[in-house]
Parts: sequence; C-alpha cells; structure tokens
Amino acid sequence: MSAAETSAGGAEQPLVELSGVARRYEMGEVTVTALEGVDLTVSPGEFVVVLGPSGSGKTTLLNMIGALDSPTEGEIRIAGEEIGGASRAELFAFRRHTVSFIFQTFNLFPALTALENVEFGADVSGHGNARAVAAQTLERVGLGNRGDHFPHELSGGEQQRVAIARALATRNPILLADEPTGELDFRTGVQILELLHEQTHTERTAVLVVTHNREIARVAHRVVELSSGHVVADRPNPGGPAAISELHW
Amino acid sequence: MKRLRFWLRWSLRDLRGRWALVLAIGLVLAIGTGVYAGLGSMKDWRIASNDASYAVLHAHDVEVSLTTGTSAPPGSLRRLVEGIPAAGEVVAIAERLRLPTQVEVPRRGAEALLSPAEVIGSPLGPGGPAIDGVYASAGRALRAGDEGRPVAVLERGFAEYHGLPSRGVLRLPGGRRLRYVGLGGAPESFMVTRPGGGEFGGAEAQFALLFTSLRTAQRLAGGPPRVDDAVLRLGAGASPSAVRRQLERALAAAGLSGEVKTLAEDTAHRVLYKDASGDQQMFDVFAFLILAGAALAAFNLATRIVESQRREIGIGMALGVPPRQLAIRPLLLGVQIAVAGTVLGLALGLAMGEIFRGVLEGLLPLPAMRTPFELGVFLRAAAVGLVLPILATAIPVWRGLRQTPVQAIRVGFRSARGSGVAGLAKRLRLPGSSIAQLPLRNALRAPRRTLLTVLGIGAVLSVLVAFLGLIDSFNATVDRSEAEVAHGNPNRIVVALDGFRPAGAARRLVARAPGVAAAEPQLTLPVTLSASGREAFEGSLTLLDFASPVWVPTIVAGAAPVAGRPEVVISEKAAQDLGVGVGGTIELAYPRRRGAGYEEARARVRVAGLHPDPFRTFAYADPSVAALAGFPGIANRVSATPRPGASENRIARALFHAPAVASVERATATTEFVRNRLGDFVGVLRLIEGFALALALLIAFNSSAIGIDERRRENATMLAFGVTSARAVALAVGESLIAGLLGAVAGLAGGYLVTSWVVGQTLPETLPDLGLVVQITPASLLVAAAVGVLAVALAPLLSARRIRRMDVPSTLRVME
Repeated sequence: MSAAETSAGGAEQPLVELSGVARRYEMGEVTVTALEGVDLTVSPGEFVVVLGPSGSGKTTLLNMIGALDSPTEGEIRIAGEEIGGASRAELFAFRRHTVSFIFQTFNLFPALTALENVEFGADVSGHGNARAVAAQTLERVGLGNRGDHFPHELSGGEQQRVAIARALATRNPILLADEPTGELDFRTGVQILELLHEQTHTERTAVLVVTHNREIARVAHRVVELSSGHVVADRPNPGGPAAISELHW
Repeated sequence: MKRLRFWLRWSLRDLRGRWALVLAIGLVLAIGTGVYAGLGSMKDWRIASNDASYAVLHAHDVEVSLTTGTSAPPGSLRRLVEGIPAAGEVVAIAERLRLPTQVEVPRRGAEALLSPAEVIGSPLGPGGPAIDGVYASAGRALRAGDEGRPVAVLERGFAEYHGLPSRGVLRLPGGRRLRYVGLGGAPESFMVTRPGGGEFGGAEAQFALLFTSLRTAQRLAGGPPRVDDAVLRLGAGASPSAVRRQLERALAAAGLSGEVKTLAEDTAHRVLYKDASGDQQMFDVFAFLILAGAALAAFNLATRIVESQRREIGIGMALGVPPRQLAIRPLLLGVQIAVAGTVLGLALGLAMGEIFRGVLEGLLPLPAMRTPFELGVFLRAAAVGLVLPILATAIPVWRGLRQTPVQAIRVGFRSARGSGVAGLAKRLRLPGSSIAQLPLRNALRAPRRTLLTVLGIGAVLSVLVAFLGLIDSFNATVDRSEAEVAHGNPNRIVVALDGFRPAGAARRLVARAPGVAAAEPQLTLPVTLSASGREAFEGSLTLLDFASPVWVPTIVAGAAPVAGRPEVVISEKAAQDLGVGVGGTIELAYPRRRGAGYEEARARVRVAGLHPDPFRTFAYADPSVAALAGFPGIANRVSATPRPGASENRIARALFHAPAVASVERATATTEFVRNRLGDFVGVLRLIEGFALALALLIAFNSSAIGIDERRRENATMLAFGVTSARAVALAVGESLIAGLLGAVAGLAGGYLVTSWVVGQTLPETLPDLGLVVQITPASLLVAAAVGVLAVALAPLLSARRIRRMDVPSTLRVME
C-alpha cells in the first residue's frame, strides 16, 4: 500500500476513509459495542482531534485505523486501499510504511538510547541512512544534545519528544497519537502539540490525536466527538484552529 | 486470621493465573533436589547392596589361597586351619579348587567363542556352596545333587556381554565338556578382576568364571584330587585379622606358599567398598552442580515474578497496608514454588531409587540391590528447595518495601529503573540496525538477571562438559595404554600357560602353531611395588628379552635394564606414585621358589627406565632376574606375532587342545576390559547427562517465557510499528543466544575445572592403578556448547505463540 496520492482532478484524496465501521467484542454471553456505524475521513495535512469520555471508543477507533484491530462491520480504506481483507504480512507492511504511533506512556525501548530509539523508527520503515535521519529528527524535536541518553535519564516531556521523533522518523503519512499529552505537564504538552502541528504543515502528515482534553481540540482543523461508540459530531473548528499559545489547562 | 485468609485467597487467585510457571519452577527445583538425593544416596545404596549381597551368599571371613600352580591333597588345608590356636572360632570351612583354563562356547550362527576362564569348585550342600554361595540370576543355582556332575553356573557378566543363553554347553581343553545350568555369580564375581589387572573390574567380558562342585573341578583338573583354596566363616566376635596372622604362620610352618586374606582385604570387596566412597566424591560434585544450577534458576525466576508485583506493593504501601501484610502475597508465591518443588522433588526422589537401581545393576552384578529412599539426603536437598524460593521472593519484597510508595508505583517512565551496564556499551555498536542492537542491550540492561541465568545454565552445562570430558579422559588414557601395548606389533597375542614351563619348550610350542610368525617366552610374576613412605600397590613383573623383535616396552626415560643387574622398568605413573625417578630404588615383594612351594621374598631394585603405559601395575625386567626368584629358564606365558592374515582366533584354536596352554588372547585384552569397566560408569554419567539436559531446557524455557512476559510492552510497540512477530521472536532468540553463549562459556570453563578436579583428585583414589590424563576433545566441547547454546537460544520459539497472538492494543494501553 502506498502513501497518500493526489486524485486526478486535483482534489486531494482522503488518506483515511471509514464507512459504517463497527467493532463489537464478545465477553462471554455479553456483547460490548465499542464502535457502531462510524464514518470518517482524514486528508493529508489535516490535524484531527477525536474527543470523547472514557469508554467512548476513541482508542478502538485509533486501533482500527492503525490496523492493530479489525472491524466487525464496515470498511476501512487507507490511501484508497481497503485494509479489511489484507493478509497478516500486508498489515505488518502497512504499519511499517503508512502509520506511526505515539503512545500516552511513550513505550520507548529502555535498553536503547534516545538516538537509537528514533533510529528504530527510521529502520523499521526502511530508510537507507537511518542513523542520519534519526539524528536529524532528534535535532528537530530539540533533543539533538540528548541522543546518547537512555530513556530513564530523560524527563517525561523529553521522552515523549523522543517518541514523537521515533514516529516522525518513519516519514509515514499518517500519525496516530493516543493521549500524547496525558502524562505531561501543560508546558511540555504544548511543546508536543506544536511538534505535531508543525508536522501537518511541513510534511503534510495526517495527524489524528485521541484525547479527552477539550482544550487540545481547539488547535485541530477538525474535531470528531465520540460517545458510546457513535460519532456524535464531526465538524471543522469554528473559526479555524486556534494558536497553540492560546491554550491553557 | 481473617486478613491472612484474604491474602491466601488472593495468592490462590495468583496461582490460578500462573500455575504452569509455578509448576515449571517447582520442576526445576525438583530435578535439582531429586538428582541430588539420588546421586547423594549412591554411596549408601552401594554399601547397603554390598552388605546385603555378601550376607545373602554367606561370604567367607578369611580365605587361604595357595600360590597359582600349586595345590595340596584334600583335607590338608582343613587340618591346617584346625591346628591354629583360634580354630575354635572357625564355625565353617570349605576346601576348594580354582582351576585356570579356557573355554569354548558354541554360539548359534556365529563362530564359537574362546575365552580364558577359571573353574571354581566348592563342596555343595542343599543350596549350593555353604560358604561363598552361588546365586542364579537366570536358569538354576547349584544343588547338592550336582556334586561330581559336569554341571556349572556361568558368571552372568560374561554371559550377558556375549549374549549367551541361560543354559548351554561349554568345551574345555582336552575335549571335556561342562554343561552350564544357569547364569549367576558368587562373592568373588561381584567384581571380576584379572591377575595383573590391578584393581579393575570389567574383566568379565574376557574372563569366564565357572562355579561348580569341588569333585567336578577335581575331575576337570585330572590326576589325583587336589585343593588349592579354603574359605572360612568365623563366629561372632572373632577377629579375622588374628585368624589370618595365625594361618600365615601355619602356612609357612607347613612349607606351603600362599596367601591368607580377610574378606575386607579381598580385592573385589576392597574395591567395591572403596569405589562406593571414592565414586561418591565425583557424584557429589555432579549433584552439587545440578542442585546449584536448579537453585540459581529457581531463584532467578521467582525473583522476576515478584518484581512484576512491585507496583502492587507500592499501591498497598500508598493505601497504608502494613509492610508485613504486603509481604504475605509474594512470599506465598515463594511458598507455593517451594511446596511444588518439594512435592515433585519427593516424587522424583522416590523414583530415583528405581531409576538408579537399573544403573547400579549395570555397574555391579550383585544378588541383592538395596536402594531405599534416603530421607536424610533428600531432606538436605529439600531444605535448599524450600528455603530458596522463599528467599528469592523475600529479596525483591524487601527491596520493594524499602522504597517510597511513589517509587514503587512508578515502574513506568518516571521510575529510574536504570540501564544496568547497557551504558557501558553505549558507544559499542554492533553491525546492523538499531533493532539488531536490542538483544545485546537488553541483556546488558538487566545484568543481575542475565548473570543468574548464565550461571544457572553454566552450572548445568558444566555437568555436561564434565561428563563428556570424563569419557574423553578415560578414552584417551585407555588409548594411550593400548598404543603402548600394541606399538610396533598391533596384532600381538599373548599365550598364557597353565603353570611354569621351561622357556624353550614354551617358545617352541607356540612358534610351531600355524599362523605364528615369532614367539617370545616371558615370565610374569605377581609383585608388590613399594618405596619408603609411599603406599605399596600390587602389580606384575614381566621378565622379557629387551632385544626381542616381538614386543618390548617403550622407554621414555632412562634405559633398558642391564642383564644380570637388579633393575626394572616401571611406568611413569608408578614412578610418580612411588616418588622415584630413573636411578631411584624401589622394593619388590615377589614369590620365590622354595622346595615344592613358594615364599615371599623382597628385593631392592634400581629403576632403570620408565615406560609410558598409564597402568602403574606393569613392570618389566631382564630374564636374568628370574634366577633371583628361583625361576631360571622358566616361562608362564608367550608373547607372539601372528603371520599376516592369521587371526587370533585361528591361533587360539590351534593351541586350544595343547595341554600347557591356559588361554590365548590379544595383547590389548587388558585395555579392553578396562574399557568395559569404564563403560559401566558411562551408564551413571549418561543418566546425569539426561537430567542436566532436561534441566537446561527447563531453565531456558522458563527464562524465555518470563522474559517474553517482561518485554511484552516492548514487543507490542515493535508490532505496532510493523516489526513482524517472527522478527520479534528472532530478537528474543538473539537475547537467549547471548545468555546461551555466555552460559556455554561458563559451562565449558566450569566443566574443564570439574573434569580436572575429578580426574586429578577423585579418580586417583577410585582408580589408583590408572594414570588418567585430562582431556576434553574439541568435538566434545563443540557438542556441549552447541547443545547448550541451541537449547537456550531456541527456547523462545516455544513461546513464539504468545508473541504472535499478543493483543497489541491492550498491551499498549496498560497504564503504569
């Protein structure tokens, strides 16, 4: 599956298209519906925030787009290709070349240095000069001088920046972030959001951020609200995205 | 009480989730304690079996044996015994005849087997011989009605080695036949030794012992009835040593040459009991290593399980639960492992009796085998098995409780968990991508865990290396002996005569046989070698022509003895044991002819040279020395070179009916029976090897299973980034490979040390006649390393399913 493509007519083809997606889990005799009838599109360079309380299905939605989970019903097309019928090997390849993850708890490899963690992202997606790409990306997130530190030698904010650098180093067109600021203080959270926002402009990466923090939604191009597995709102930010400097929580 | 019940319930729920792991760690401990109990009981089992076997066959207390080749009229030895002051303490006496000969055993579908043999004739009562009874393991035993009939019991070791049936017919020289009605043994066959073979057993393969009635043996010997041996049983409280001394005096006074021995001085008896203690030292080393390997592994694994509960301890601390109560749950895990280990260990310990019984039966053909459960030994091992898991769980609990609740709860990114010694390798990059660095970095990140795993695997592998090293050392030593005995004349044969014959006639007799190219008469005398301050040992002195084209020993130091001078060539090992070198003096005790009999004589002789045979028992001198012993121009064996294409069997057949010939065998026969004896040990060692391998596999599997559990988030992250599950498993294999390689290095080093210690310290006590050389062949090292590395490295494959089926989203969402 290739990266984003531009449609023949000049209008950008959505990178992510979900139609009628449902995800149900069988828990013994009980069926838990995590998502139901979700329709969603995300275009290149778009910064989309998915809002919703705990249990609304935000993370399940992210897992579907990231091909970590498959829908019970509906269709998911990434860069124009349906991933529902993809084989296991194709899904691995899809994750290597199309999506990147940023986790709330960072999930850095504790035995690798910051630079090596970033290099991991470049390596996985098959960049030729992974070391150089990693150094460059780490520099971009402001941690050029911390490359040979191990994760436990970094602050939480620094660790999340390393995690972002790792995701960016893949140069994949879709970036999925699950509560990326959830573990961070306000100042650090803002820095992270700036990084993600910048990525939509410079690389036209589609960024999907899942959060329960409404303040973060202010900087999004578009806000999707979930409740009990249903999309209850999907609208562009009225008045456009706010400046990150205006945020406070 | 109520609270304890709560913690117990919680702990039982934990157990439900990880029962397989608890059981697996318990099994690791059980193998350690079970093998320790089994190996640790070997000495007690062997001594109990020896005692029971000697008792059940009414073994003699004292034996009077006339020198080989001499005999006395029936009744004369009885009268000798009845004439000593302690005669009243003798409760039973039996005169016997021991007849050296050879037998031909017809075999269906194969050439008849020719073998040196000895017929032992004893007076028969209703249950066979009343003293030194004969048991039957197959067929039937001897009974009173067999007296005088051509009926015998064939020694079972010989029959088993050659696959003979339990009944058959044997042919003896002169066309005589003997029917054997059963297979079995007597106290003298508990360990079959050969004259000149030192204290080695294992001769049963090339030496047939036949137990029959006294009258039958006398008929086979021909001529007027004679006896040459008497066995005595003493009353309770009598001193065998005192009786022996009196009998020695009586023998000398009667002008008879012979030897009086108490049962404790009998070679087989002495070696059986000495072996039981000597071998135990070696078994103790293996038992300790296996227990240590199991203990280290169990400690490591239990610690790692509790480490994963550290966060819950922190939560408890935050909620104000007293530390003592918080410690209950992890400690209960230790108790569960300890109980599982003890229960499984008890079962294995009980089974060990049966498992080792089979091995012991192969090692010792005893009529009574006793392998009771040795509670004391088991309890010693079980104590380790009980204490260790509790200690292993207590240490991380203690460490967890010493932290602040916040530190204990934060096991995620905020917790400074350290990178172990990974920092040291920060600038050390392996070739390949960052992913390729992960196995080494992970191994370095948890150095304590890696070290414990490596030590556990290393201890177990060292058992394997030591096992292979011992076999290699045995083989190298026997090969060296064989090379010396066969050098320059690999097909050489030795014709043993039935007594002392004129050397010229003996040479002619053999030289005339078809297939013989050259013959050299020799005289071999039993001797005792000693030097001041050193322990004396028995051996054989062979008088031979050092210019003979047939065979002479290699002289590695010094020179051949000069004719007419009291000089000998001894082995390097003998020189070392006697503390002499070339030019030094040793004392020889040897039989000297006196009238019709023999007396023991002593002579101080100069060591002219040394030969390289690792057997210390072989000594050589010039034939001119024979005059000193009263044997001028006499031989009792002939060394011969077969013509090209002539087989030993053909020559043996040609000489079978010659009246003076006792046996014909290859010159390398002695090394062959030593090989057999050493082969018996291999049975025990193989068993240890099997347990060591099972333990290595279990340790590797458990370690990798826990490792994969510990790295689940990292694996999930990799899978989320599109790293395939096969690659994730390969990384786990890589990390295990590092532990396996380090474990193999530790195992090879440990194994070499154990081999050196066993060969250098333990075996010289068990096998004092053999100068063992330490050798571990590259092939053995490769096998041990490959087995260890492969077993450990491939263990993660068994857990590959867990990575393949991992619920990535759930694993990544786990909040810490």
